[in-house]
Amino acid sequence: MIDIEGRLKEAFDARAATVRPGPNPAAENRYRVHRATRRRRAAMACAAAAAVIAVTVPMAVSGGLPDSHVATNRAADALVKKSGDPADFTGAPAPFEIPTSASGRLTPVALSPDGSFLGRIGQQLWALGPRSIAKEAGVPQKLFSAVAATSRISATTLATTGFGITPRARVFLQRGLGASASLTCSVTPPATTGMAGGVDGIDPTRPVWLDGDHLVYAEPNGGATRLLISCDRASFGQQTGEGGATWFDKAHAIPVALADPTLFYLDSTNLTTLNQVDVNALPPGSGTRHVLDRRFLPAKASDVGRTWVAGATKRTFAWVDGDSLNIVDRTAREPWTPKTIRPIPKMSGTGQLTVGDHVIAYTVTNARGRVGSFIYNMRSGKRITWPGRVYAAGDWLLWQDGGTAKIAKVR
Amino acid sequence: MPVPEVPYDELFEAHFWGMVRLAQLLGADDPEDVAQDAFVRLHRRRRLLRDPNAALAYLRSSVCNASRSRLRHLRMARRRHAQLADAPTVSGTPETAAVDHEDVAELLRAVDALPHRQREVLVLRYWLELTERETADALGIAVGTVKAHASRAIAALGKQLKDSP
Repeated sequence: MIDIEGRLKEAFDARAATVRPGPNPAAENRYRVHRATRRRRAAMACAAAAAVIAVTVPMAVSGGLPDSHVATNRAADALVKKSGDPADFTGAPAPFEIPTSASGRLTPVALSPDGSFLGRIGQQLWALGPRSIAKEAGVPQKLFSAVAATSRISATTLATTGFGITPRARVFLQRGLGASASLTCSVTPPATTGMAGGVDGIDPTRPVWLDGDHLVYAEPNGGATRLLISCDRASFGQQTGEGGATWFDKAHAIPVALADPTLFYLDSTNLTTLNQVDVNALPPGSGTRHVLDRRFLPAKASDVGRTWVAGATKRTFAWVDGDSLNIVDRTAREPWTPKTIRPIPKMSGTGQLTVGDHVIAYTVTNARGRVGSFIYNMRSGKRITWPGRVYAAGDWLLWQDGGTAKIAKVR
Repeated sequence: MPVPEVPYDELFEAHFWGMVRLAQLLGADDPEDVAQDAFVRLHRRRRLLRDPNAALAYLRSSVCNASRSRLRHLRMARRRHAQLADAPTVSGTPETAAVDHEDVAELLRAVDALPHRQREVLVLRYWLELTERETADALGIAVGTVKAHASRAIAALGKQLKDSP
């Protein structure tokens, strides 16, 4: 006879053990309590005001005055309140509003320095760019019909920055069963030998980095951080030692930014030091690191990938550390002295930092899918907080505006 | 003898991850979110904090209700959008080695297939080891109903496991 009652406790314990404590839930809870209190007070204030109006002006309402319109306030669902407008950073021509389709609204997910970008419409991933906008009247080019990776099934998934686009390559992450995911990278125009392959065995909790011709991703369960020299079929998905694939020992290297050909990474045994590597100088298949430069961070990096995130271009390296944005001019001769912008809004969730030529955008998504952004103009010093996703690359800025997406050049 | 009042932060520190695990066992798609919301609701009812036992009972009840609601919503969403992937189960990590044992996995699959009320009763009775009275209070049902659900659930599991190859 099967002793089910005797086995249930063991089975439940085994499943309960799969819950992994995440970072700082108490901070998230304080934020939620504060937000709930604020909303309750606001609701009570509105109710009190409505009661006063109802008592004092009944005749005006029945007299045919237009109904008061209570606009849906999407900002109430966001992590920050609106302060300024990303369009303030842009010049002529006016921001282009991406047309929505019958399938639903477009959610931007990645921006290339040439103005092309990736966006999700429902379960589809689309690629758009200035060329398609100019010549095809905004009709997007459908890239893939496969399910895009980003999902709010779990916080783990939300920690993944699973999309990337450059002038020649596009990449996206697809969740598989369990904790696995596959990565697909394609080049355009297609290589003569065919289109992209997929690579299985990607850690979906880690970002992928795509810039120039280099792609960096991490393998799950303690596997190596892999660096692919090229996204085309000739070398994509190659195993150790073949065709230009190389890797870092994951036990030590945590990639945090890629500005081709420089890969920035932290050493997990020393989170106060930022390392830089010339990826072109790495011999394939050896795991050898050729560190170009090491810089000390003003404070130890903690909660990397959530409240500590970085981004880089050939000119700039920037990182967010909780409530501060730190910017370094990589071309400066003097010792590495970050400029610190503080405070920036504290937003609880998974952060992503994108760096353009003149604008930096920091976007946070929390476990419930709520979004907020902080945008900083490096030339004017102006700051904007925005209740939607924002991406900066090259001299382009891409942002969500309510149910639409807009793109424009930074002036 | 009156039970000393427990500060909210201490309650959170002591019980948050337990509530996350409870929500996970009850099938919530986002167990951390469920647990966070339960604590926020508790914060609004701070008078309950004067009695930590009452606060804990309130949290359990809140997590059960929210998990049930999430499951219902998830099933409706799946019916509407057939392409939605099933919620993934965590695997491939050292902690999940026990779950990957086939007999444990088989039993858990059978539990997942039970009606949600039966599943709730099993989790509260056999994992949290609550009494029938405590289980009834957490779920807002009668003690006799708890007994009936438990009995039917065990019988269903027995049949399922016996019939499986």
